[in-house]
Amino acid sequence: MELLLKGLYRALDMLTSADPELVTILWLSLKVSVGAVVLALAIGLPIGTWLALGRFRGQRFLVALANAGMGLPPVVVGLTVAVLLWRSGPLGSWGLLYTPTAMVLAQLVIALPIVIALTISAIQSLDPRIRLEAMSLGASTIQMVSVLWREARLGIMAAAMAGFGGAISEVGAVLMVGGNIRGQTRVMTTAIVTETRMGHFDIAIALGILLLLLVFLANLVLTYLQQRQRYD
Amino acid sequence: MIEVINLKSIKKTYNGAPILEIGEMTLQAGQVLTISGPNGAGKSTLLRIIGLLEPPDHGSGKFLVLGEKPTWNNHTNLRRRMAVVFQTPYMFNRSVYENISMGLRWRKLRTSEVAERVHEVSKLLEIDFLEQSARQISRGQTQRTALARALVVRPEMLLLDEPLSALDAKLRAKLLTKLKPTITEAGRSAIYVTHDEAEVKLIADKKLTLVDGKIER
Repeated sequence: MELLLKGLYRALDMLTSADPELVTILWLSLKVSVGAVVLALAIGLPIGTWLALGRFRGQRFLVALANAGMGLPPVVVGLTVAVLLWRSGPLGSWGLLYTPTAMVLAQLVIALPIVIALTISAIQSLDPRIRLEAMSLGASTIQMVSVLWREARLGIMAAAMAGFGGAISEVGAVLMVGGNIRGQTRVMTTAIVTETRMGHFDIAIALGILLLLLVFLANLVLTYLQQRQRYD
Repeated sequence: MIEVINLKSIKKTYNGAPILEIGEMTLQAGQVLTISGPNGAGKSTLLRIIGLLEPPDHGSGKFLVLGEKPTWNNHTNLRRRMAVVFQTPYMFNRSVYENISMGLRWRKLRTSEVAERVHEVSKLLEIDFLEQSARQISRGQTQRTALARALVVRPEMLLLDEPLSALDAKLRAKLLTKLKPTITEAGRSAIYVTHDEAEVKLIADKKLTLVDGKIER
């Protein structure tokens, strides 16, 4: 109990004093996870929509793959991305291992199936009359997709939130591809692991509280956006 | 006279069961054709096929809409020359105004012209709830909004599936007498599906009855 109180006190102290190392870690965590989610949405929304509407062989298999991908173990993702980016690996020449870009890539792999799977369910749960109505009003394919996204916006926002949650809270993948280098690739989750290992429980608890706060604030913003766009 | 529809031996089958078998059907520009018939006779399916919202079976015969044979390339363009009002229209999760103006914005009309046309059609159909959410209006108001959404694009052909069924008889008759000249004076044509004999009398230039997917003479 005393440890927890100490952690709380430490968190308040770190926040009010705007500890420079903490600010660097917080800022990098946000940049990496927001970057990963933005990329996941850019890639996942079109793919999810295509899988939701498509009638082709193998469509069900791909949907099942996306659903299964929501449970991808981050350590396996980290291992795969690390092998790909390893100096002698296929993408080794890019020199990305142990950089924030590598961390964005790893978190992208984690967030992408979440965004795709939740987009599929958001689009498929729309009223089938929407497509007929939009077609009869003369929508082109792009106009049709934009109408579907707009009608499914609450579900798509939920996909963004879940993707962000999956990305910012994972530790295994960013640890493996980022290397947890102080001042360069250390993010909230890896910092918590490091401080716990060193027995600095108060700092670890403080960081944990701040991470929870960060996740809550980010979701508060997204929820606000989501609920503001409700019409009925 | 320009022929807007010319169909010959058009068939539609669902899961092996034939539900539509049209021997021959034509419609001239400037005419209103009413289609009546019992539930499940294939009226809505026929409307969706003509509206290019679903294809007829492979091996169907002649299929000319607005004088053209629909192909993969001209589908959207042909659809933009028609407008459909469904029996239970879907209202997009936006205001009534936005619902009515959607088709115009997709056709990239200027904002000022969009506003002008929306207000013109709203006046005709007595729509005084433009700012309301389209999800919070009554069934009758929904039907009028859907009709406005179709009329506002000034289509060459209107496909109407019991578009006024939720209105009371008085308002229905009033709107129908306004609707008829709006369609025919501009040289447009319409297919109007209805169960109601009074509606047929008010609007039809030509009528047919569909029973079990076939035209009854």
